[in-house]
Amino acid sequence: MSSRSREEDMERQREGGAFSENGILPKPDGKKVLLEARQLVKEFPAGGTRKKPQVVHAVTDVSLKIYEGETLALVGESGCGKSTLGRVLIRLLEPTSGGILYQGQEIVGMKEAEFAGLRREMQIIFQDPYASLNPRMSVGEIIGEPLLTYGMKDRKEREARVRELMQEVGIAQEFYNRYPHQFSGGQRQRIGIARAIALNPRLIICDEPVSALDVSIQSQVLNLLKDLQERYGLTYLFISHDLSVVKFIADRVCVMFLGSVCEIGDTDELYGKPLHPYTRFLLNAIPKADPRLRSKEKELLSGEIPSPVNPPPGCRFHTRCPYVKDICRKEVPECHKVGKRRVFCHFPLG
Amino acid sequence: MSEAIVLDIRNLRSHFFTAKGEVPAVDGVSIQVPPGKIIGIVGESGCGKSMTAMSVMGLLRYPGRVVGGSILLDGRDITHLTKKELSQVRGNEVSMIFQEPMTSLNPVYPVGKQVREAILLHQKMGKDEAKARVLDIFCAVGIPEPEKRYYSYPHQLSGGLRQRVMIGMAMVCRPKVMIADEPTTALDVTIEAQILQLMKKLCEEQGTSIILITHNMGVVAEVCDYVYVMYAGKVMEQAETFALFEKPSHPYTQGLLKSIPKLDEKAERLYTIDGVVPNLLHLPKGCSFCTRCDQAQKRCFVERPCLYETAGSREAAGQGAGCQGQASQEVGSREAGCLEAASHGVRCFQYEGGGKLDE
Amino acid sequence: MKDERQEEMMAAAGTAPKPDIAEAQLGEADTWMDKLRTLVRQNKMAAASAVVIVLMILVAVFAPWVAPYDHLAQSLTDRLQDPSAAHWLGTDELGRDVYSRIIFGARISLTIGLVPTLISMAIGTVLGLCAGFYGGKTDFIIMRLADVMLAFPSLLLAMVVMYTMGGGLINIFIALSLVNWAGTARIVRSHTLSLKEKEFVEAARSIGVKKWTIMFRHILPNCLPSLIVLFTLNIPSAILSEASLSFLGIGAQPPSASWGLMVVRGKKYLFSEPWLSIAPSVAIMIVVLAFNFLGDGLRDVLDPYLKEQ
Repeated sequence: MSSRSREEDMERQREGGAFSENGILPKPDGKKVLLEARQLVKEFPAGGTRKKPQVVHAVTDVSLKIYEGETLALVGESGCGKSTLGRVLIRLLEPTSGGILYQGQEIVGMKEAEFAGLRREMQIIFQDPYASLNPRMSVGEIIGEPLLTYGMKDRKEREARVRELMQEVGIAQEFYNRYPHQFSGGQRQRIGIARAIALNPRLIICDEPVSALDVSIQSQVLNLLKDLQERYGLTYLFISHDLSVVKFIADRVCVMFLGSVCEIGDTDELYGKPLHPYTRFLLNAIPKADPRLRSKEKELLSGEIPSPVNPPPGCRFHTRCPYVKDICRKEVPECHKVGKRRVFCHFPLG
Repeated sequence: MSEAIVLDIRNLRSHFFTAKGEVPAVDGVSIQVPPGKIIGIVGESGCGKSMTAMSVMGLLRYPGRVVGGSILLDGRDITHLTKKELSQVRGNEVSMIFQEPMTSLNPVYPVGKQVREAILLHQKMGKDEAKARVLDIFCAVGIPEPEKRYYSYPHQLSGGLRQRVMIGMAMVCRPKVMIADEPTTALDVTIEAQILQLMKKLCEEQGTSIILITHNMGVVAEVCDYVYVMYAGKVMEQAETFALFEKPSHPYTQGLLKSIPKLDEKAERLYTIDGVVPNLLHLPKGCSFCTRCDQAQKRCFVERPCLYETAGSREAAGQGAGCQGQASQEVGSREAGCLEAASHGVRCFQYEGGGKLDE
Repeated sequence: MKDERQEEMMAAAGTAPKPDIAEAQLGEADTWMDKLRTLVRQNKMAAASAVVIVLMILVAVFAPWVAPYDHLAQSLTDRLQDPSAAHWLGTDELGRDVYSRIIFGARISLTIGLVPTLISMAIGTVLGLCAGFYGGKTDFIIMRLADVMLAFPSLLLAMVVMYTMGGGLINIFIALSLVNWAGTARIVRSHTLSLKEKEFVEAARSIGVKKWTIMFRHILPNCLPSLIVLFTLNIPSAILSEASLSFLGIGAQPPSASWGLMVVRGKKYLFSEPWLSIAPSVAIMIVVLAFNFLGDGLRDVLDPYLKEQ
């Protein structure tokens, strides 16, 4: 058991007081583990024949800890399993194997009724602000839905809280009865954020929340996310492929490639001195907004991302890695600890 | 401007005629494309950058229409061509690649055949000869095992390979200008870097000019020679790339550059441009950026600024060349040719001192 | 005016106006009125059809006041009269005014068009939702049942039902309701399948909204435009089925003024008094065409799956 005991949690739910002031949590100190993933595996069926069923290995043997109050970023290219991992962690998808501890409590295999109380503490913000809001519900209904689901039946009370939330995320209250299609992408994303914080959650999975937005809107939303985190002591799992955004928002970064973790570490350290070759190439590849940094011949990764249906044996990255040795092709690298960082590579850069 | 301009877009205006009114999607855009250069058009969604490209390609569909201006390709106006003439130009002299290669490739034909079709459509050539040509171009755009890929269907290729095929198809007739509309937006970072590198290489080797449309300032900084920043259907600032990033002059450009999170510094908060892009139907009376501008003056709300040349932009260009010399001698010299033509234009009253570049 | 003053005041104060995100542009709403306007503008045929249908409904509702004669009143002295000022469409073999009968027939046809269609679509919608949302065995059983229903010619199936239960309006309702749900179920299921993968459904799940609530609050409303289109297209087929059943003698029973029945009764006099069967045929044709045109028009305006941005 980490921070607070189960009883306290139950009390919180009983009171339903999360809607009132006492729902605001004390500022976390960033030491306690909020969520821990233990050797998570998620596979999807991908057709094949009955005798030889094919599987997409979306997440393979991932272990990580998310500390209270921090922002952990999951970084990787498409198909690396970062979104799947995020959804598995809050049980929108059931893991194939492995365990998830939320405040020291195993939530994999927990009955839906039992989990319902914890569900409100973990919310998700989606990438596509167009698809994530029901086009036939008004803003008030969308933001009010979580409140309604958790027993705030009184219309007036709910409306008051929704208006409060709208103010919080920067949507004017007179838009209470508008429909999603009347808003721009950034405003919709704000609505999605309001819906996610409505239940005073502790953990929010941000699944590429700004990658569909324009640059000028992107910075507005990032600032908002940061403000909210400060105000409510939220913990974020920030999923993104954009390393510059991650650099801005994350305290720690976890780099993933093809379903497995490459490297986890503090943002500044990891950006300053990548230990996994993949991290380095990823950082190199970002087009930087400064023409003086262009170089004639960039050190680029060759090749494509292998298919997650038939991932290469050994180190997942070995087909693209320029430093590949024999052992990389055969053995899955173990975790090397370098200071506070963890690297999964046979020959970490150093 | 120097006389060697391949594609000269002059005061182009394309409007959409919708039920709610006439939408000026492209509102007096002038763009010059010199040979063998990469021109960047950068802006947020709805700023008219794609519509400009569609207008050039003659791909605007009802309710959109080019209502004014001219598009000169090698001195020939291509705005009022017949369908037949247009199809001779399109794909042959000017070609285009799109953001999502999957939708631009026909899923039921092998990609090699599709590229071959593109050749046969425009050039008199035997089928075998054309195929050889396709294999050549596949090699040139870096497709591994071209012989095998020739018979692959689009869904069998990864996003990066598909984009390479598209580029191959666009390059196969050695066009004078290739328009790339967000060519790397759907791709991963490592693949994006490969594609950008490829485009740069092709541009240098084949002398094709590229108009690169993107929202990503990083991509612009990486490959473009000259940049046009668009906002609400108008060019807000135009400059040689180094000059633009060195000294962004329009408040919008400045804001854009400031609001991007940087890799090399840790900021507590990001700079933001308040508000959202205005509705093109209800543009502000004055400068279209005035409602979001943090340097706006009284007159910005009532008068429309022209595109002014920044005072001393010629000298600045000279300095720019000098500073590139430090970065890389070779790049600097390559840039120099473009710099002569490059004037730094800004659509903002702050630069009224300089001469007008339009209207 | 107000805006300008505001701007000027702000500009004068030396601060640039920073619009709250609130003031920023909002896309204008596509309200129902807007859609109606689009329909009228784009598709004149559909708009005209809508008018015809509204008129038809009014006539059906106010039939006793509109019709010049009682539709059941026989007058053996006036049998088989040619159309005249007194009897616009003549009289039938029992001396009943054909025009009045057609007006009263509209009641039957429209009820037949509306009621069984509503019932069958309600059944189909619920089954389709369940099949699409739950998937697996539920899906398998429901959809195989639907396949079986669709494999039979629906008229044949309706005939079987009618023969076992006997003729009469109520039985037509039941027969047509039972026969026509499968098509709706299929369409709703396919919409559900794509909708349940949408992120807003995932968002609802992440909040912990109950499955049944998700189905009816999030998925069903997004199927509605297609359902409305389907509804207008199903009505004419129900009307035609009733006409066919009545024509075959197992639908509406005399003396009711069903159009199908009138056609078959007029058949005997096709060469001597053709209006007896032509008039109700034309009535059927007009109604069916009107609903079809309206359905097509509505599809263009409403169905989001045809014009996804």
